[in-house]
Amino acid sequence: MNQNYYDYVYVAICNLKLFSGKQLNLLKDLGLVLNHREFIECIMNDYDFNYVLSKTTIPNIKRTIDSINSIRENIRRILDYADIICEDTSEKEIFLISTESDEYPFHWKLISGMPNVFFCIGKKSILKKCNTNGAVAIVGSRYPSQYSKDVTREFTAEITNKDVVVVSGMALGIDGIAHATTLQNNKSTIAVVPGGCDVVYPHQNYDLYQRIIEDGLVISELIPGTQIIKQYFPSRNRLIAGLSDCCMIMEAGASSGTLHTASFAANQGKNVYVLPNTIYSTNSLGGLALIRDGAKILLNTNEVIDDIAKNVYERLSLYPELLDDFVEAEEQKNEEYYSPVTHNLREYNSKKIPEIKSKLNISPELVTNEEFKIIIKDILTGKSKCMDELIRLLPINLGKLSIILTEMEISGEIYSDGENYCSL
Amino acid sequence: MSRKQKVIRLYSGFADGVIGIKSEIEISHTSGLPNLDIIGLCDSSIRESRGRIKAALIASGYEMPRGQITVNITPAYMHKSGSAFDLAIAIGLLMVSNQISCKDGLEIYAEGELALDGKVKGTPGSAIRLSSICDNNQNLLVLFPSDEIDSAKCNTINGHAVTCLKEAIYILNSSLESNSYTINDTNSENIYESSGIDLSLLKGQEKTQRALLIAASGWHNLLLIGSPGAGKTLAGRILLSLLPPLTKEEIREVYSIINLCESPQTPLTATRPFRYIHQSITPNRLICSGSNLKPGEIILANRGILFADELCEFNTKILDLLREPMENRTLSMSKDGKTHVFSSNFIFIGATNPCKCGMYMEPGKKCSCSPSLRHRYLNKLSGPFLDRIDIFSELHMIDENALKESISSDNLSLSNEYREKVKDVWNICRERHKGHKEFFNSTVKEENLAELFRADKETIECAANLARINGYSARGINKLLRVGRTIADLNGDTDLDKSHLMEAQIFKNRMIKSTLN
Repeated sequence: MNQNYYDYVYVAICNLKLFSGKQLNLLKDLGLVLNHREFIECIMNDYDFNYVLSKTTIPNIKRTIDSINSIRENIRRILDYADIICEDTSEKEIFLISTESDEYPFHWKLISGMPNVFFCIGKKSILKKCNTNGAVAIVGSRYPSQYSKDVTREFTAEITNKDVVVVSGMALGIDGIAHATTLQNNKSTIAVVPGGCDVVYPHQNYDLYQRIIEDGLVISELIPGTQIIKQYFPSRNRLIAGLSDCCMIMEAGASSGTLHTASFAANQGKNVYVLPNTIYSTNSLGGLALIRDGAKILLNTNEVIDDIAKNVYERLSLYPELLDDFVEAEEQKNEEYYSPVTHNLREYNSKKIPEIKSKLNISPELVTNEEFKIIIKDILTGKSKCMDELIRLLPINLGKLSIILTEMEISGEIYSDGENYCSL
Repeated sequence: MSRKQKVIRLYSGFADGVIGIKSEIEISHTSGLPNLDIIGLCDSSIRESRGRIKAALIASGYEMPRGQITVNITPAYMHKSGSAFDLAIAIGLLMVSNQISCKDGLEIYAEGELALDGKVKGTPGSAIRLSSICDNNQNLLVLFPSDEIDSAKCNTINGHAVTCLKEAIYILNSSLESNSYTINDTNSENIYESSGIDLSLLKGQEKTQRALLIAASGWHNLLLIGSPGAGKTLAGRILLSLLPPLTKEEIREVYSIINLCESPQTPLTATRPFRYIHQSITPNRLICSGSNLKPGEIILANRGILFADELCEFNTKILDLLREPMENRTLSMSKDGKTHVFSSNFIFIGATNPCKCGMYMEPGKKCSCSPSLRHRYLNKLSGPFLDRIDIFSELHMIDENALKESISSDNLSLSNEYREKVKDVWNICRERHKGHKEFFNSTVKEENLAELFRADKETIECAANLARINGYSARGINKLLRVGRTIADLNGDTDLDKSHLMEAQIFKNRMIKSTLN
């Protein structure tokens, strides 16, 4: 029988909850089988595991023996189910990739706990690109601040210029922006989704999903058609962390799911970069806590690119066979690696502030609009305030304030979400 | 054998939608089997009047005429209902049977429901009915129930208010001079009472105070978004206190509708209507019931305020019903193949929480709603609906200092002061659009926009700039300019200016938009 067909049978068995990856690992450790395909082959050919297994002294071995017995009993049902999955996937143009496929991510082979088989839609060649060009996970809050959105756009564009694959979760907010920016630059992106890979979640990202399956790749370890359950989210995050060479956290609240991705990445020995933000932004406190716990601070993309380059270089020198398809692409890429760190800190007229403040106290009517702008920018830096609060803080009437605020917004000095104003 | 027939004519009225129609009543009396027949597409409330009339005639000391009597209420092709024809029919019966007589050439208009003991009572819709004979001359003798004096006043009627059938007949026989019922200007101030809630109670909410003032000055629709308890409902009532009293013409318009729905004794008032609707309202109750054309809340809110609390809890279909009246300021209903146009020129105020738990706008992460929940919550407000709202303002819970000030504030006449300002702006607008019916900045028709938006090049450029940055539609720019015009009027400036647009921009819908994107 076709070897690929064994993959489907394995998926069917796992999905019917008759067998698990852990139990397969046990068999592997005992030296009984090499991989899941061999296991299925043994089952199909009625190889008797029970004799060997019953001799071992591993605790709870009984459960594995029971599992194998029940697989034997239900073999008809399993094969039928495998046929259904097989038909369904070929109809929807979904690929099934297993540890034995060429495309199986190299990263996952080095980490335990990654799925033996998974499904994907789109360009599967991108998986190989991860090995040769490197991949970065860009994740963050579903409801980011304007600042994080802007930085995500800027940094994603810079990183994708180096042809690095962007991995994210296709959620609202940062994830979506990362995917969209990458696609805009005609670069490769991978979305790891929490349901089946043909299930669009969240529905607001339907357009994005269509674009990703056109030019990128959507991955899921669950069989097609599986609906979203909240419990899948952390395990999805584990795959995102696993696929990438390093992880960029753009914004994370104190109890955000993004923190899972960070901790998976850290456990897998990957660098975690966190975009710094002010302590007044409550939706960034989780990210700031990561910095306290030793994550790296994301000041620009150079460090990240260096990091990825180092990873890719090590990988390729250890496993030169990965290079086969992509030698050319890699050569192009090696050029601009060590660009100098440039970071422009914003300047503003901090000297003038005390002077204007004293003027405000003595004769507020003499303060010009320009001077008000400097003061307002100072107040709003890092903190967001609504109009009523500003009126309370400053001796200014609403008409004048609204003119100043709108002018500042047009010139891009401050941002507004419609209610609160803030500056960067 | 020829039969003797006698026919007499007199007048009464009925309401067709919101139009009063003067109706001629013909009564013929011939010998024959005693029978009283009332024809002319009457519903059962009119046909039942036979019993009331008979009893009232006897109670007042008269006789029910014998013989065959036919009462024809014209125009015969229109449906009529209500018990207001009783008095006219009773007087007609007495005349046709020669129990009373009156001067030749005198036309009689009578309306009112008869009680069994001969008392005359008012019925709903009197103001509309009497509008068919408003400003009548002395040749038409008008008799109406004393309950309906207010209706007569707002239609400027020369006539007599009567309390019972006997009194009506006494007036017919005597030649008393008619009294003139009308609203005089001093009167209109007397019947105006301020809503009693002062603007100063919104201390610390400067943006909303300003929004209310602009809304009142330009007759702009308004949406308030705020935390629970921040004063959204209060703000609605405060807006009422900012609106100048109704004019004479408006009093007639408003009262005739109120009178149609509520008891005839409802007093005449110059205070603008304030209608409060909440999420359990049905389409019939909101718009107008199609079967009997009973006006719904949006028609009752004409010339006043329609306040929708907890807007996001409303059924989306109900909200979309509001679109036509909010845009056209009228409502058309079809009944029996005839279209009735009601005027529904109100200021719409919506109030909503920013999210399900309501705490989204409070600092310190008090909100427990997920982004998708917030999206779903605010998504009930459709884009086209929000497009029709000119001014958006947010309310926050106020801190203790402002709270102290608002409670201990001694200036409780801020509303009165602001009302004068609003009055001035209205006068400016009225002057600008002399000869047009719609003069408010938000209601001026498209043909007259050139005058409204007169501005220099720089201002137009600024408007285009704002539109480009924020992605406004043509209607969006139009609304921005209209609000800007109102701000200019409030500041006393003749031409639209950049700074006005900048201020108008602050009141644009951005908070909801940023959530929904």
